[in-house]
Amino acid sequence: MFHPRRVRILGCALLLFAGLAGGCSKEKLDELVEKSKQQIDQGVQKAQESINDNVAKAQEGATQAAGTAQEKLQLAGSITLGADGTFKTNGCYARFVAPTAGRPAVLRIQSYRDAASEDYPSVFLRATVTATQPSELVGQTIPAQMFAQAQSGGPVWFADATAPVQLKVVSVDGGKIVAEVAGGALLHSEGGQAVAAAGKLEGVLQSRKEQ
Amino acid sequence: MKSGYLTRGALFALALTAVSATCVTAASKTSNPNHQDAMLAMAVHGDASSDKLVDEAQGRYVTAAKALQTALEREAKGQINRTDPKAVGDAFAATHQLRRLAAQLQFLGEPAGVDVMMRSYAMSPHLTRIAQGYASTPEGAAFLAKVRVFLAKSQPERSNVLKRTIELARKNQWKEAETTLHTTLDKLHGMTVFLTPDEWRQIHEPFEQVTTSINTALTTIRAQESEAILQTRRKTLTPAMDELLQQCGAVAQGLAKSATVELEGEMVGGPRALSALLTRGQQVHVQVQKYHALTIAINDRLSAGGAGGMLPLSGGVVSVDPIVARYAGGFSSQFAGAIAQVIEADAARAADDEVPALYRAYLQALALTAMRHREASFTNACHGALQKLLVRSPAFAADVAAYEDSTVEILRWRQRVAESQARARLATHPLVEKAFRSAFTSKDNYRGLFEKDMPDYNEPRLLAAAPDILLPALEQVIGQKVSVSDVRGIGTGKNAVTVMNARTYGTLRGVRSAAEPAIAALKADLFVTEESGPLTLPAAAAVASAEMGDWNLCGGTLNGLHLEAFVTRLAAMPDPAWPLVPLGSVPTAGAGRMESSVTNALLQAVVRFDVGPEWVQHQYFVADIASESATASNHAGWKR
Repeated sequence: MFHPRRVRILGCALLLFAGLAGGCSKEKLDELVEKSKQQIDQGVQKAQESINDNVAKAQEGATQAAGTAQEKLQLAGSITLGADGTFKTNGCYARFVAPTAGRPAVLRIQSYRDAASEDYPSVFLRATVTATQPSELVGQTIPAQMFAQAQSGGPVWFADATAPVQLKVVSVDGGKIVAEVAGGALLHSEGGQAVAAAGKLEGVLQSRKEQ
Repeated sequence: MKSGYLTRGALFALALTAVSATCVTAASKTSNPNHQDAMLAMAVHGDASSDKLVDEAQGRYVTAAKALQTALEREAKGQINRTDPKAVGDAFAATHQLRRLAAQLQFLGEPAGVDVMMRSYAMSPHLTRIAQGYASTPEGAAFLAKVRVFLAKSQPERSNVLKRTIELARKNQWKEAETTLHTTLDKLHGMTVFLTPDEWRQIHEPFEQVTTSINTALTTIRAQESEAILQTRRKTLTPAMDELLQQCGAVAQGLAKSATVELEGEMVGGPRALSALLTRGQQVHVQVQKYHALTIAINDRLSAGGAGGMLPLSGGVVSVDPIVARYAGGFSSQFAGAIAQVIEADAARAADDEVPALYRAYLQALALTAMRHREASFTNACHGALQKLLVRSPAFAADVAAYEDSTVEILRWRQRVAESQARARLATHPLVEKAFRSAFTSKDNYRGLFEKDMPDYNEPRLLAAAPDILLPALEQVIGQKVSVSDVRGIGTGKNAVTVMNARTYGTLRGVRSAAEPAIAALKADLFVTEESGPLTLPAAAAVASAEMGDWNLCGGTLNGLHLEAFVTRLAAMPDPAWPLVPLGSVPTAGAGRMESSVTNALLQAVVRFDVGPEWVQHQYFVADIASESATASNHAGWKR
């Protein structure tokens, strides 16, 4: 079972590479994606080092208080969107809901512990999956609905069930999950423009009691 | 067709073009002046006496309006000498008859009477001008000579009528006196309109004193008679609030002992009983609206008579009817508590293995009402009661919790996307209650629904006769791209009506089926299949509201406009139209007030819009519905 004290380094980086799908060549796109990935990797490494220094400072206490402390300390990871890193969240949480009563299992990943503590930028992904436990997802590339919002009440970049992003689960280890957004596009809720989505994600895998 | 460039005469001529262009029908219980026929009478809410009065008024109005139209056309062509003096005289006499009918309608609390009164006054100056113009032509002079001979010869007869009328008045036989008087005056008006002012006075002055006496006496008599009629009607509409709460209590008591209870002669389970009680709650809601409307009509029906100068102006005493105040002041919470008790009683009695089926059934029964209820207390009470049911079955409660875990966030994000998409569409489809204001605001010679200076856009009023309000403005609004908000499916969901907002509301047809693909996508996100329904109140409400055709917004083309009266809209509200007013409330009397007394209440209007839908915003999706193949997903967000 997950416990706040057991939190280790939980870097979470998700790059959403923004380039107008119709106005950007594949070569250029690949180049920019690669560059962005490097920047993110560097950022994650720095965050990891910082977290290693600070992990001992994490306080015990109520779940919510612990969550806030973790976010401040970057323990719960963050999500960074865009090559310039301007879209950066303060947390990253994953939840696996096992299949129940004929319904498929669900993997949820979001930038906030719960709705009450949501801040912005905010990101949410949901995928229905074929698995009975999270570890079975490793190696699978699964279609996922994805939403990202820079500010409260603002426009939303999204991919719904008809055109989901592709989420590759890289590893599930103890209280951590690592995944990559491996394809798909996000659409702007007001302008309608599409951008390619790509990124890497590492998050806390929560159990229900820790919500 | 800018009203500002038209004289009042031209405006009236414009209005009258509708008479020939459309087949003017008799007044109807439900129709109102609209984009297709601006000359229609306003609907009435009362019994057969109201129908009879408005039918007679409309018949006389149409005849008079046609005669005036012909005369105006000849005048415009410089052929006033070809005026038909009998037709014009009869039309002028009809204006007086219309005023009497209008007053009687107003006594009965019918706003249609105010409109009739204003139509009469709109015609009079044109008829007088044409009559005087005709009299100055050689043809008119010849006609006038005959009129003068007739009036001279009939002087003794007029004296006898006057004596008879005075005699009847002395005996307090006021209605007989009125009939005798008006039979003669109506004939005279058709001729005296052609006379000089001095000649007119000589003929009419002798009748003035007795006319005033009769009007004064009959005003008192009719005010009393009509109040008795309205009070009797209002009594039958007294909302059965206590009975409803008692019924809830009885059902809860029954369910505490048994899985079924007797309700209206039938043995039913808890969820079905709950559905029946919720429906009863909607009926009580409609009763309240009708009761409220009649209260306003009783208190203020005479104040609008100032338009005709035939009725005394009342002060518009501010008061809040205690029954209305009770309903709007917290009955909703009481009802929610009573509904919760029903579920809780069933929960306390039910065996653990009954819980899943009972829970699902209660969820379905509550879903739509929970979505439509604006007060959180209702949803909270229902949610609390459902939780008590779940406590009985930990295994099923865990299933519900897992379901919530899987669906709660996707609903939140769907809502954000839908709100954002709709926000973008509002740029090209402004809310109709704002879009129509400019065309109906008074300016220059135009008198519309809003005053020129400091207009109160929450309270449209008849500032002129309905045709004169509608015709100059219709062209400016019909065909506009607009949005209507808070759309509620009615009946089986094929048609819809919007919640009344700023005294406007919309009607839509055939929206739901076109949104089927988007509804299917929502259900898929919520794991709803034929075999497996939603397991939380928000999810159940999402599906139920989409299937019923409840939309936060609907954008489309404004293709119809109907001018209704506020009092009539409420007093004649059919039960299925209950969503027009949010549950637990009554429309305020302007500026957020809830008084049961409104000065010039009968002048207050409601504007109904027909919208040809092109897209809808449900709480959790936006869908294009311009064609049969509606766009299924949120990708509809940028399609135009």
